[in-house]
Amino acid sequence: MNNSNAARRCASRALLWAVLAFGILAAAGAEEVGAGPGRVGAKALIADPRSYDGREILFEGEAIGDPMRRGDHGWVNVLDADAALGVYAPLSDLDAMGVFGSSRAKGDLVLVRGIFHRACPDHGGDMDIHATSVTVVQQGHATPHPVDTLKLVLVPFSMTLAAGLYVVWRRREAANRKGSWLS
Amino acid sequence: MTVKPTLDDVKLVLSYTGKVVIGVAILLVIPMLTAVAAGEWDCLVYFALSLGISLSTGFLLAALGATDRKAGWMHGMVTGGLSWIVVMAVAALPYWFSGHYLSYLDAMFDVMSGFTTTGLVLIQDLDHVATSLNMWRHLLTFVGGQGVIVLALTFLVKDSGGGYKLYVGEGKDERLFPSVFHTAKAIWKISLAYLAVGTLALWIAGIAIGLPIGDAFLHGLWVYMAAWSTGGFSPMTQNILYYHSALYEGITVVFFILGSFNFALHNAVWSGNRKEIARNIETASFATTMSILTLVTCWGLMKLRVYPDLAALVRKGFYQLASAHTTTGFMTVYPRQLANEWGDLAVLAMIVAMLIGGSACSTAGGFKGLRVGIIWKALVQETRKLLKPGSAVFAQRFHYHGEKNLSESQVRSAALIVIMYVAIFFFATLAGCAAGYPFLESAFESASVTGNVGFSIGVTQAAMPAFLKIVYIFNMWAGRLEFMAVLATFAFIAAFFRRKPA
Amino acid sequence: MSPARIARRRQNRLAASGALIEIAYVVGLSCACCLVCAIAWFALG
Repeated sequence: MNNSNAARRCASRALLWAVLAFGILAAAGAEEVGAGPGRVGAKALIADPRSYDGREILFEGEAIGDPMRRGDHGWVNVLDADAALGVYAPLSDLDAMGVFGSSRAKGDLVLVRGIFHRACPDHGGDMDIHATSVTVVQQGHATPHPVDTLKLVLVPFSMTLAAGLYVVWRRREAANRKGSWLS
Repeated sequence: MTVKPTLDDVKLVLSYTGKVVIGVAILLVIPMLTAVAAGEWDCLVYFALSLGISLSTGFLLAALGATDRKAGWMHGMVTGGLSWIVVMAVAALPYWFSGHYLSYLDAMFDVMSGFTTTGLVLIQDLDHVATSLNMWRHLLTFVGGQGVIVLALTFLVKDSGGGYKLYVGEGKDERLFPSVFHTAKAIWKISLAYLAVGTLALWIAGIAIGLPIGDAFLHGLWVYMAAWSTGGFSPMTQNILYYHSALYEGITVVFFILGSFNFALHNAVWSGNRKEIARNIETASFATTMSILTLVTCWGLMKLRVYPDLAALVRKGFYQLASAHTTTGFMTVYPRQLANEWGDLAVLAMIVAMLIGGSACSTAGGFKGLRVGIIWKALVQETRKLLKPGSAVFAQRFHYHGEKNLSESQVRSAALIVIMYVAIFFFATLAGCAAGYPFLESAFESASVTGNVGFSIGVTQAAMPAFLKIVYIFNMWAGRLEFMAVLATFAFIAAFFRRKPA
Repeated sequence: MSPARIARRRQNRLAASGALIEIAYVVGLSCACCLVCAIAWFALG
């Protein structure tokens, strides 16, 4: 009877270990399977480009300026909190973006998945990202710039002051010239 | 200066300073027109306010200084020095009103950077800056390159004697023509002709690389202005890297190298004296140092395997080096890449290139090729004297619009100015180290500031300590004016306040 | 055509060819530097 108890204890311990082992392996395996490229910011990329060189990354930022179409691909520069990076993407990705950052608008917030290059051999050594996919996370919008009423009101005052000082200047110059005639 | 300046002397300085301020204020009309064209009404309002305040300042100074006395050399020098400071304060108004600056000091820093054609910036959110504000930024660097004084001369100064003295106070000591007005006109003619050609070239290139027609024109105009003035401003934070285009880079190289040439050289070649371009000591000096430093830069980059192929080595190595040597400051790499990837040898080559700089009487900064050439010739002469001690004194010659004899005073003057440059270079490097930045980075940024280059290795940020910003402003100012005007200004002020011995 | 106009035209032609010479010089200098880069590349690569 003792033998069977010992055997049962042994078996349950073995089972426990097996479950534990399986659990650990499964968790590890799950991480690998579900893992994708990490999200990196421009600052980190510029500070340590060699460790990201040639790897797939996720980069998020505002599309700024103008998309530059060149053949079947094109460039869009994407600005995050620290710097803007050039993204080289197929035309279809560029066409999907509607709003680009300028003085009049905040551009589309885009999430770029692509291969990062520290010094791209295709593009003369530029630091760039060759996009495999570009998703518009948030559409851009116009940024209104209302006229500052205080400044508007001050304009005629400053101009009047300037006009007045102009007169003063001219008068003093004339007075000086007159003075030298007489002397 | 042994004679204490009188009130009349002060008045003359104030009068001419006022006139320079008026000239710069009138320039505000250009961004105002741009604002109207672009529908930027908020900008139009703050430009108009800036105009009112600037004109008031100019008229006030001119009124205070109204006098019938004629200007002397000292007045020209001191006006040259002082007017840049007053203009810096006044031209910063639109920057400050735009909301793109964290402090008025930052706004003034950018003005000084623009006028001295340096190109370092403290502006925030550059990629979202209004068209009219970008017009003002690039206009400042273009006009600064032409010389604020030349600008004022063109419009305001009636007596050409006083005009010439102002002009020389500014660091451009070539007398192209007997009359200063003719000189100013010639400088403007050359600049405007190249402005048309260069803007057109970049406009077409911009369209070819995918920019829309309107933006291609604006970028072309602005980048041209920054190239010719060897300023290095750009409408985007990525600077020239924004375009990702060898064509665009190539065109900028042509115009920024041209911009670094002496106006007297342009005038000579444009008047038929073609051989001058090859024989001139400055172009010869430049060609020599460019080749040597390109080699050193490439060596430094190759050692660390920074670039994967020859095309990249040229587009990054040569481009950055040429931009540094001409004191332009256009970049196709990020500032921190210079610090992190380029390695000490290449960075050192860049520092030397920035300090040597471009030609005299041009938009470029640095020691100037002419001085490097003169000092080199003097060394050659000394060496020859040592080797042949018994022989009679013979003249060392150099070619500078004709064969010239190397004189003791030329060598002395060249050496003294180089020494002063080195002195303020060390001073700003020290300031950078005191602020906590690593030595090589402080030295790099200091060389950039002193030579009016505009390359950043990452030190220049809005978060930089205020005292360092002030040191950099001083170096930009002193370097651009080549010390004479700066020394004159300090001497003038000191002499004015010195009490006579009892 | 007036002599003044002829003189001005000649001046402009001279200026234009001067500009072309300058541009050619700069392009030549840049090519020379590219050659230096190439030498460095092949010698040290």
